[in-house]
Amino acid sequence: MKRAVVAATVLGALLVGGAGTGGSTYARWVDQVKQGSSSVLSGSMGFTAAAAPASLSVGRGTSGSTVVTVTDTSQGKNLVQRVTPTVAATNGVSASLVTRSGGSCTSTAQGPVALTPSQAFSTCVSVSVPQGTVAGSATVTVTLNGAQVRGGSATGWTFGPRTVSIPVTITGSVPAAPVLTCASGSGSSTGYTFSWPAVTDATGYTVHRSDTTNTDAAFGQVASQAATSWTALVGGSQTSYVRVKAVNAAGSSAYSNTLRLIKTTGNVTCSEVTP
Amino acid sequence: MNTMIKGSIAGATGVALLMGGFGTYALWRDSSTLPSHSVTSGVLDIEAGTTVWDDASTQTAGDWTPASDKMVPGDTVTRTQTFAIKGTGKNLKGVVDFTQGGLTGNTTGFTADVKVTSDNATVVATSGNDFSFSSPFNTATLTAVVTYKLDSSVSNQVDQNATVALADSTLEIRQGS
Repeated sequence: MKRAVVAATVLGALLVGGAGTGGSTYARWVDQVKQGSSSVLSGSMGFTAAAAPASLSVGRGTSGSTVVTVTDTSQGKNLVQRVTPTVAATNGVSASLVTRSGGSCTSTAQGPVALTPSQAFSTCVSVSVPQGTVAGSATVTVTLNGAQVRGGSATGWTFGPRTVSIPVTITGSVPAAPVLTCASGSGSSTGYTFSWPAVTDATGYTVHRSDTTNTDAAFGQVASQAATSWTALVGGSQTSYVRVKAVNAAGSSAYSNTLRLIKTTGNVTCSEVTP
Repeated sequence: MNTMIKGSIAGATGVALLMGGFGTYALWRDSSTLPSHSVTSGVLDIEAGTTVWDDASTQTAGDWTPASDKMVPGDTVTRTQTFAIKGTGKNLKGVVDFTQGGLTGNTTGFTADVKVTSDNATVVATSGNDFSFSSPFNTATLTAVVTYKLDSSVSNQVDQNATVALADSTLEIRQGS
């Protein structure tokens, strides 16, 4: 009885366990480990830009400037963003971009700037309003484009364009035209001296003369002065015409009325030309 | 008592003594000693080692902090982890199977590749990142490198502010074929 029980137990052990007995039903060593999860983040690229002052007031024939500051808002350990600014203006106003150094505008044209995250740069916007500009205002627009660079070459992300608009108020007006009268002058045998009342806001006067006809094409400028009188030398049997413009930083006035100066015999005479 | 009767009684007695009763009889016996002895078993084990993150853009080792550093187009970042394996036993043979976790993240230019290498000539690569050994190898080191890339051709603002994750991967060392 006991021998039969022992024999059955041994046979059972051979079927359940043991090793290296051949066949496919046997225990094997196994061990396992995990390589834990991991993740990476990507960054972003961008910038902000603003002008200070945000607007300009520029007189005709003069210039003004403002400063645009660009600040990189990117995130990325190895990110370099190249920002390229350009500028344009309306209504005949001219604008240019120059670099800024030591708090002052230089004369060097502004080119692209490479920025890393959080870096910033400033550029000067110079605005010129020509004399004789008719418009009372203009808009200067600074356009900025960002491009990721790697090893000096553009590759990867881009940003923009972004624009900064700068309104320009154009100031100053030309003076009124002078008024010439013969009564305010006197003639001599060789010429005629005449004067005119000073014109408000005028900083000077230009004198124009024709020795042929009273037509615009025949007149030529013969003097530019601050004085409000002028002497015309008139030769024998000569008829001359004179007219004056008042000028200031905003430009020139219209022509004054025209005086006719005649030398026959005796002193030079003056008469006012009827328009 | 005559001699014949005595002899008969003695013989009968002797036979009785030799035959015994029920359970009481003599058997030959002998014995000797089996000296004490022992056997030892080997080991099959795998344990994870340290992890190092590296920015391939620099020559400095271990210079990427995954919790704060952010990738941009053209970046390559690696995560390297070692695994120490042990395999002893006269008739030991087996395999090491690598099961890669899935990649998640809605991106266009991101890739993540895993490459596992062995420093022991007995633990040889078979296919993919799997290995086999046909004899005991004592100790070996498996190195698993996860390489993350953000392609430089990604343009505009594609793949910005994204998270790309590789789920758990598994290394299993198993006796047998």
